[in-house]
Amino acid sequence: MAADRQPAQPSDRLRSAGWLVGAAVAMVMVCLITVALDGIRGVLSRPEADAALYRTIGLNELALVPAGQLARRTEVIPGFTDGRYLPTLPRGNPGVVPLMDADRLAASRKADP
Amino acid sequence: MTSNGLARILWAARELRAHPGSTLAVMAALVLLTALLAGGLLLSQALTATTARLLDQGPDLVVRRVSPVGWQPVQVQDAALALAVPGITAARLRIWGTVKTPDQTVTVVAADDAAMRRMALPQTLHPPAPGEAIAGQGVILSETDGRLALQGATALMTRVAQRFPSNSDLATYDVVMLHPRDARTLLGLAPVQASDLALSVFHPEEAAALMPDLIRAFPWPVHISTRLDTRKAYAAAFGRRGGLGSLLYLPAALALVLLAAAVIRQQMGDRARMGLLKALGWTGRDILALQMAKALLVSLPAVAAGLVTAYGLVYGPTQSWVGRLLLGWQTTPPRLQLDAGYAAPIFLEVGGMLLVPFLAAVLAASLGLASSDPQDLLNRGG
Repeated sequence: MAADRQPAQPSDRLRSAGWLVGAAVAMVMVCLITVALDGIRGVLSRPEADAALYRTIGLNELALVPAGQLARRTEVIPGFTDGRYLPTLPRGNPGVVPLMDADRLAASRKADP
Repeated sequence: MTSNGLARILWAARELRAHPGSTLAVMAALVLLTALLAGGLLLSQALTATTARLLDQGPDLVVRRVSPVGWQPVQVQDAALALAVPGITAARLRIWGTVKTPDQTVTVVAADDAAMRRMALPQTLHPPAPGEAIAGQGVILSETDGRLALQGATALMTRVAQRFPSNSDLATYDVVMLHPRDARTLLGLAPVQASDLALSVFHPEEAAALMPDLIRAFPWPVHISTRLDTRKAYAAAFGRRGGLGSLLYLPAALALVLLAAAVIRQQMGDRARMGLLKALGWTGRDILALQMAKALLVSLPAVAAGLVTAYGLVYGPTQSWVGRLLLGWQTTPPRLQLDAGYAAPIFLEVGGMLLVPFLAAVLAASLGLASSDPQDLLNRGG
């Protein structure tokens, strides 16, 4: 029987096609393993060293961008600026506009008819 | 899998090997497209999650004294004013600022002995003595003897006695921690002054509600930012970058259409061969299965390779490209220890977004081939 078997023809690509299919399956398996390892890393290993140091230093900025750059400057983070004393500052919560304050308007009219 | 099914897949692979150039081109295009889309989404998700986790460890409120010319230092006794507000549980005077070294700009912060004692820090880290400093991994020392020249309100020469560990780069990469006396001298603060106040509140969710009381508590104008403000600012920055990145979706979608068109055109070029197979006894179902097997053999490993490449780019050792290209680092960027666990939904999203239209286009074209008459296919394909 062995003598009857013909050697593979050079033009026959079926034999090497097996390698192609194997490589494709291997690539998909690598992807699935990556997803599984990522899930395990996400559940098991939460980095705590950076959190402890961040808490100790007490800053509310991260070293994602170099120090001094606009994106790092926490003072430009829009927050609430109190403008009671300095009208040139932005007023985050202006309250009642004086001209619309009926009592004050009435008092001012009474004082200066 | 049945032997018939395996044989069909092998036959499909054999057919693909008959056109190695076009097969490889389609695969390479799919790998690039997938890596681009998945990389952007994965990076954005990991950065947002990591920064949110770290910022949650920071102060609930930051109170800064302001004037028309900018910020003003606070006095040490001002902490008591904040503590008098109901709901404020702790007030920490922060001494910090941005100063220059001969090579870069760094953030200087004064060591808080009490905070360092409270935290479970690495055993090797001790509060710096006067004249000493703890520097992040990204602080460049131009002096060979470990000395660092700092230029703030005054010049200060300090010796870097310790380094922050590299696994805390996100918090400490270009931070220099000094003794409070040195930090005050460098930043031009008097011994009873500090840069601002970091406050802790009893219920972090109610931090914003305490702001009117805090404003009334201080006899000068203040700027107050909550942790939520900081998180929003970072999210907005990532959103802006993500928005620019999403512009890539348009050419990516166009590339996908062109890829599908190229595959369909190749299939149409095979009409004579399909006609021959049908004449030899292949059924329409066989033809359809062959074409789908070919499409899957090209697209599945290519998309998988693109997803793995994207993961490697975001989490792998070559990740410094993020700092250089996206975050503006001219010097060596920090190694970002990004939180993991977000690959599965993003891989599913990107994989589905690319595979479904690609396979649908191939299916539509193959249905036409499978239902055609063999004679027609032979005549038109010839």
